[in-house]
Amino acid sequence: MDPCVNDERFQIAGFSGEIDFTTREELRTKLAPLSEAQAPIVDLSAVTYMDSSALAEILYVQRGRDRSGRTRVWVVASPAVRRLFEAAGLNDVLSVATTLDEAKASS
Amino acid sequence: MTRTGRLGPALGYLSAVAALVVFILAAFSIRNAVDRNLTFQRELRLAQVDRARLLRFQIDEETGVRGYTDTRMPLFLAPYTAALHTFDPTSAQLGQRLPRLGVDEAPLRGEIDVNQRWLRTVAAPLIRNPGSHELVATQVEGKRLVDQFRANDLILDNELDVAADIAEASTARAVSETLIGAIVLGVVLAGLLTWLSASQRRLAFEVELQRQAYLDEKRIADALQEAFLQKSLPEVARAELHAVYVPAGRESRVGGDWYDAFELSEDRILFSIGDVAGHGIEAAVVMSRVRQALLSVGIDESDPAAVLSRANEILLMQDGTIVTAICGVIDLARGVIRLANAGHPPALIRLADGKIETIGATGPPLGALYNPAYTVASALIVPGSLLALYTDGLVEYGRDWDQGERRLLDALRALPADAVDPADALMHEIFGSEAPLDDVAILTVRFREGLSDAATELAAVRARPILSRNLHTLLVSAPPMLTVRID
Repeated sequence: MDPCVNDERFQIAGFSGEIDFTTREELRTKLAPLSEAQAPIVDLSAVTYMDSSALAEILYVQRGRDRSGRTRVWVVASPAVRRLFEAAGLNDVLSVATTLDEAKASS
Repeated sequence: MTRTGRLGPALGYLSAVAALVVFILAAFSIRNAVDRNLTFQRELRLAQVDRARLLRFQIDEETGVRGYTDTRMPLFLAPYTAALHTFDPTSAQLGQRLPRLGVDEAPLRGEIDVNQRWLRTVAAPLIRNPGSHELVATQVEGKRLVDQFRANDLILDNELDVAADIAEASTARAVSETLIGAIVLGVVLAGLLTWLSASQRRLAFEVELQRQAYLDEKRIADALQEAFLQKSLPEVARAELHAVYVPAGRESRVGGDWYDAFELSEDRILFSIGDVAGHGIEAAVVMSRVRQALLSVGIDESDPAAVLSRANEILLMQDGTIVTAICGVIDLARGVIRLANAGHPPALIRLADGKIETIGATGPPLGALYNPAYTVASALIVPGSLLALYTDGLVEYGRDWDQGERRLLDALRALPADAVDPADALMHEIFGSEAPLDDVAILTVRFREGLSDAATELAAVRARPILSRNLHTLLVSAPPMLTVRID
């Protein structure tokens, strides 16, 4: 997995390959700084597979931000991830972008 | 850990074999050293004999010549003649032995030279002319030469002794060095073997501990799962319910999948199916809470969307994880299925003619949002159709969702209309004898003939079971979901 990047005002957590319950701890660690960031972005553009427990970790961050009235997390989704979001009815829950630039421009 | 586990015994065997080889080599090496020394010492003894004989020959020759010059009797020349014949072969033989023993040949060459000079300058003139007036001078010369011979002999004798000592010492050293080496190597190998077997035992112990811990957790989770699984499904006149639950093939995963079906009244069945993100005891506990929430709210609340919203609130209150679920009611009197979906794979209906429809209702998973909007979708029940609800383990075939969904649709289409247990048949159709990657729960409802009049009439009016919004205000059908193709 790629390291967390603090690009100016953006707090970006990038992931690649397959993320599932086996990588949950790593996921949790990398996503933690996002819950209070100014402009959090989860970059999943290089993710080929993602299971519900990985999804849950991202939603957990979003939930925390919702509760404290913070802005939404922008998610850069690969086609595989986009499928999962659609299947799970998450298009209204997360702000989904196709590229990192798009996510930066929008957040 | 596994690698070391396999390496351990191999290294152990290797060390044992190496120790054996070392000891055999050491034994051979010692035997060779002793053998070499024995051969050397024998050669040395023979050289000493040769050396002594050469000295005796010289003295014999000298004594013989002296006796002859004193008495003039040829009788005295006998030892001289005998020695004369044996001196050369013996000196030649010794000349061959000395290089083999590593002893300097100079004294021997000195002896040969002295002997020849003595024969030429002393023996020959004396034998030829015993009464010569130079007798005394010649005898003095003879004495001098014989002394030189003795001096050479002393040197040679000494050198042979030294060679014997050196050989003995080097043999002793070789033997002790080999022994020490073998002992040191043996100790090292034995230490290595002990260490390996100890680490092997430690490893086995750790593995056993982990296995025990895992088994404990699995036993608890399995017990919970078993306790949670509904023992019996409602038995109603106009519908048959079937369900299967198959745990993941991968041992370490005890999932949070569930299905439920309860008879609210004679004609109404409350059902749910869902999947808690994560595995293990934690997931099993969350699962029990969600099911309890769905059931207790569902008994009083007839709107499935409201049931999901309430369950979402309850889950958020307990700060639980994310859960996908479908919750709905089958109303056999009205011939209608109404359901709401919280991020779960869509419910499918297989018609009698094999066509497959999805019941499209959407909404975010439970536990994800504070004020989620759930929609209710409805489907009209037609006799001979089959409602199939499942968890994502069923389509998570080889981690390819497209392929997984294709397989599911194909399997559902191919399902025999009279399958004894459609849920089990579907499971078998998709996985055969393979174990699924993730837990799988399937709940099927097959609708028989003898539905209510209203339902039969509606079914007759429309060949398709999915109602559009304008048909009935109560029944809301969302468009089919993008994720499932409808053929």
